[in-house]
This record gives sequence, C-alpha cells and structure tokens, in this order.
Amino acid sequence: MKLNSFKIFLIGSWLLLSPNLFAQGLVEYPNHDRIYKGFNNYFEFASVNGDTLLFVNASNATLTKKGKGYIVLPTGNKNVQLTITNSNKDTLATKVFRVFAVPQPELYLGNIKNGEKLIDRMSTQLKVLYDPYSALGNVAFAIKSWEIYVGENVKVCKGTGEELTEEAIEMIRVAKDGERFKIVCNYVNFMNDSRTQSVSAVFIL
Amino acid sequence: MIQKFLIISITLSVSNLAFAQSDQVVIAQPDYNILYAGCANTVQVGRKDGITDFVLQAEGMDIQLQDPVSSIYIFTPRGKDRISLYFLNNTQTDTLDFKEFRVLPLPPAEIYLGDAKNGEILTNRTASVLSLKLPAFVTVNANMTIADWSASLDDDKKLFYGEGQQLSVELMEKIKNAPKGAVLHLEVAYKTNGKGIKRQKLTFTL
Repeated sequence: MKLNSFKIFLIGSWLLLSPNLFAQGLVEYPNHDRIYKGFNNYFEFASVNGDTLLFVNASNATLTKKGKGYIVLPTGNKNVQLTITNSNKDTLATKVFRVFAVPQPELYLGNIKNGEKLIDRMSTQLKVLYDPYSALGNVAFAIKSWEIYVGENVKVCKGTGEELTEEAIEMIRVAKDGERFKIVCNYVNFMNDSRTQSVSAVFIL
Repeated sequence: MIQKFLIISITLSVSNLAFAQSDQVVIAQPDYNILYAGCANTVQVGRKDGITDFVLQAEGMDIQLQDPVSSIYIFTPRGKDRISLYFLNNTQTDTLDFKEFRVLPLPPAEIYLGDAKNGEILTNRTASVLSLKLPAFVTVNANMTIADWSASLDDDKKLFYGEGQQLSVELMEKIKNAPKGAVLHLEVAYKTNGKGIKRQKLTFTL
C-alpha cells in the first residue's frame, strides 16, 4: 500500500514536472494547407488574443473531439474549410485545406530509402514510414517479414521483424561496390483495416 | 473631397479589422512539426491557456517576431538537428512548456525548361529559359538561382555550356534542328539562398 502511494507520488511529481504533457503552446504554418482523406487529421486551436473558449465548425468534413483537439475527417475530395468562432459567435478565423490521398509509406534501411546509396553497410534496422515531409507525423508501421533479392529476383535471405539477420548483414557487407539489392517487406497497414501489404526498395552499394 | 477621404479611410479601417480578425486563431496540426534548415519559416504562435504575454526561446534557431498583432514569427533554424522551442513567461523566469520540431533540408527543386518538367516532352522547342520551383508541399520560400548548365543531345559528344538560366543560341539552334524523338540531356547546377551548389540531371524528349 505504501509502495502504491509512493508510486502515485512519483507519477504525480513527474506529471507536474513535465510541462510538455500539458503543452498549451501551439504553432501553425499559415502556408500549410494539406489534409488527408481517410486519415485522422488531428487539430488543436488557440487564440492569439487570450480567448480560451473557441468553437470549431467544418465544411466537407466530420469533426470528432479527441483529447485537447479535434479529428478532422474529410467526407470527400472537396476542400475542407475550418471556421473558428468565439462565444459571441464572432468568426475569428477561417482556413481552407486541400484534400489529398494518403501516400504509400516508404521502406527505409537505416535512414536510406528506395534508390539511394547505402552508405552505412552495417545498417540493420528496417522501417516503413510515411514521407517525412508530409503532414502525417512520425507514423511507423509494424514489419511482419522481409526478403532480400539480388540480380534477377533471386531470393537470398529472409527474416521476420524489423531487424536484418546476421546472414543478411554479412551478405551486404561483402557485396561489391555498385551492386544493387532489393528488399521486400510485409507490413501491417493500420490505415487500411490492418491488412498486410508489401513495400519494396532497391538499395545501391 | 473630404467625404471621399472619409469613405476611403473607413473602408481601409474595416478591411484592416477584417484582416486582423481572420488571423486571431492558431489552427495547428501538432503532428506537423517540420522546419526547413536555413530557411525563413513563417509560423503563427498562440496558447490555449490564454496567455498572450510569453517569450519564445530555442537553441540553434533565430526567432523574429514579424507581426505582434497576429503573433506571426519567423523561425530560421541554423543547423539540421531537432529544435526544442520553449515558451517562457514574460519575465523569462519560468518555462511554461515546449514544443519539438524536426529540421529537414529543403527537398530538391523541380527544374523546368519553359513549361516542360524533367522527363517530359519538350513541345515548345523555342523554350530557352530554365526555371526552378520548390515542390508544392514546401511551406517556405527560398531564393533559388541557376548557376550553370551543360547540355548534349542524344549520342552527340558535343557538349554545350552556359551560366545562368538562359540556354545559349548555339544550343537552341541544335534543339530546333534535332529530329523528333531525340533526347536533350541537361545537367543544371543551382544555389539556394545564395549557398551550396546542387546539381540535377534532366532529360527532355524533343
């Protein structure tokens, strides 16, 4: 019982000392106007003049309250407009967003992606991620299995999870400069009913 | 005359008010936290708790308040590391909270010859000016200039060179007389914000 109280005290102290958990500061990019269809686009709103009670309305999208903000889900391909009002129903801001399809995630070996030269041959970690320039955030997909092909689609190694096996690392280590190999990954696409999908990438040594 | 002046003044005041009002809320996607390295990133900053008198601080980034009314800032990251932006109280004695940013390099520019993009058919053979554009998703403006270019047609070993965005008269003559289906190979070097040279290889089908 004492331990539980102590744990509660520790967690409470940690929460109080972690300002980012209660972050109230928000940053908008006025030139950024992209949201994605079929994706939970998460928004938060803050007044710059001290208003704390804001109301949100959306056209061509559904709004669902989540945590400190809202999920904006486009209902079609038409532009989505968000309108923010105060308690006097004065319109404080409107912003129009263009709706885009969610891009396919890309396969990385270390920090190297499809078509690039593998500078560090000892890279072992596979990652399936969205384009880092998109507004989709740091979304990572779980990798179920992978296969490595060389030459004319000759399978040389396979494994499970996001780490390459020692056999695969050794094969990459001793390969000649300029050689290419392809990795095909099966990953769980939680954006698409958690179906298993595949993504491939070619790396140059 | 005075009436006209009054009408114009009132119209200007109303339009200024409307403009100011439309900028009073920060519409933020907290998962979108990209800043472009070495570029002037325009952002609007606000707080959900209603505090308007705050100070922003970050290591490795220049912060400039551009418009105090709409709380518009210019963030210019100096390096390529992650940046933590701290919100301090007005006396700078307490940290209210912080926000993290990923700093990314500008993606490669899209290079056009006339209206044609890399890999496309050059329908207008008289197009002689190269131009640079950033991909549409980029939220910053950058001053990009073409330093030099080199070009050749198909297997012809003759190379053409030039500086700036204008192709040479000699190359234009060659393009004009090339057979249909010939391929123009270009290598273009450009600078971003006056720094660093980037090179791109392009092809256009004639």
